[in-house]
Amino acid sequence: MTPLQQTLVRLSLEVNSKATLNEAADLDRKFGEVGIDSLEAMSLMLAVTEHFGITIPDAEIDAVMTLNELARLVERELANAGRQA
Amino acid sequence: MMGIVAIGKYIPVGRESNYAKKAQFEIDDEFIRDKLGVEAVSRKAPDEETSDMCVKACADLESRLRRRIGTVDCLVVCTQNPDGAGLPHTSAIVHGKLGLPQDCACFDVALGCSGYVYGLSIISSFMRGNGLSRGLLLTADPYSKIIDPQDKSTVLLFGDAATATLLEDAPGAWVPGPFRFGTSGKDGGALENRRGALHMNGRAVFNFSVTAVPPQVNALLKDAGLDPAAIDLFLFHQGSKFIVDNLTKRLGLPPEKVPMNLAGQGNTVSSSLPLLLQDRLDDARLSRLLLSGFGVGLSWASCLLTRT
Repeated sequence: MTPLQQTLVRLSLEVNSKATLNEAADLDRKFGEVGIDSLEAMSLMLAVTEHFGITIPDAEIDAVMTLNELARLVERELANAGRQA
Repeated sequence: MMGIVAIGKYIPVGRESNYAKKAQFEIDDEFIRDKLGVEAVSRKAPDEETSDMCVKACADLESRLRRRIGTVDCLVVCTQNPDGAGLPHTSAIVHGKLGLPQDCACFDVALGCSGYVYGLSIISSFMRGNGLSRGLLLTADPYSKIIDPQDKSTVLLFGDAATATLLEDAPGAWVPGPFRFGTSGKDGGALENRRGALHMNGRAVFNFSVTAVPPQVNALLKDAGLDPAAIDLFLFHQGSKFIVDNLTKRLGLPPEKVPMNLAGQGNTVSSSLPLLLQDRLDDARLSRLLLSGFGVGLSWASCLLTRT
């Protein structure tokens, strides 16, 4: 996993310590499939935006279904801000 | 000193079970119990008005006091779902139903989940400023008037209830203050009445709650020169178990200092804090509480409550 993916996994486990995020393939599984419910996903999005100091438009956050989709959004927002993950 | 001496409550007997809606909204028992924290929401009768709920809360207050309330100098109703179209104001309607004297000052305060804390500041300063000695702060905001039964984000959370808080100068009264207030009107669209239907952006309300409230609570403690350890209990507006749990975690509070009671009736808007407070007023182990209400507006307010 990349450092960004590792950070997202860590933040996910802080939201739900029982989430199934042991393998790279888990990052392409939907949140519900890895044990992160809708409210935990909400909490995760907030934790991610706070951790990286970024803002993600509501419509795009609503469309995020997996950690890798979230990682791509974070990379884009950081690039827009002239920063790296 | 003038402060809270007793609280009456009215929670309608009608209930809608969230367990009965599992298939409709694709949720399970764990989500209901551990995340929402609401097993059933209370629902007033269809022909029951906001003022009727206030009157019933006052009746409960009298039964707890084991006496009539007597002369009331001031009556404030906190609601955003008044009787009819809001004219006349609901507090005036309650005044009529209770047969209160003509020199009683009555007005409504149009606030939601922050309304009880704002209301305590408003009524206590109004009474002090005008030399009044007995006042009633009523909360009654039946969201069932505007909830869409197909809306998962609201129908599983909001319940109907009313409370009546008596403020007077009495030994052992709980004195509110200091206070801190907050408003973010630009974000008001997160929770609004759109042509008679409640609309809530759950994520926006969650983000607001867990990012705005902790700094205000910490600022209030600093105003009072107190550490969190000096507070006996933190009473947070019962938005959902998930919100209260996240506030507890972000503030680093021991869970045993953060009570919850929304399982049986849900988020009762401005009634949620007085419902939490009611049974704790007479607990001799408690002398200093922190209250924080937050929600529609977006609006938030926190205060200390100290037993004299």
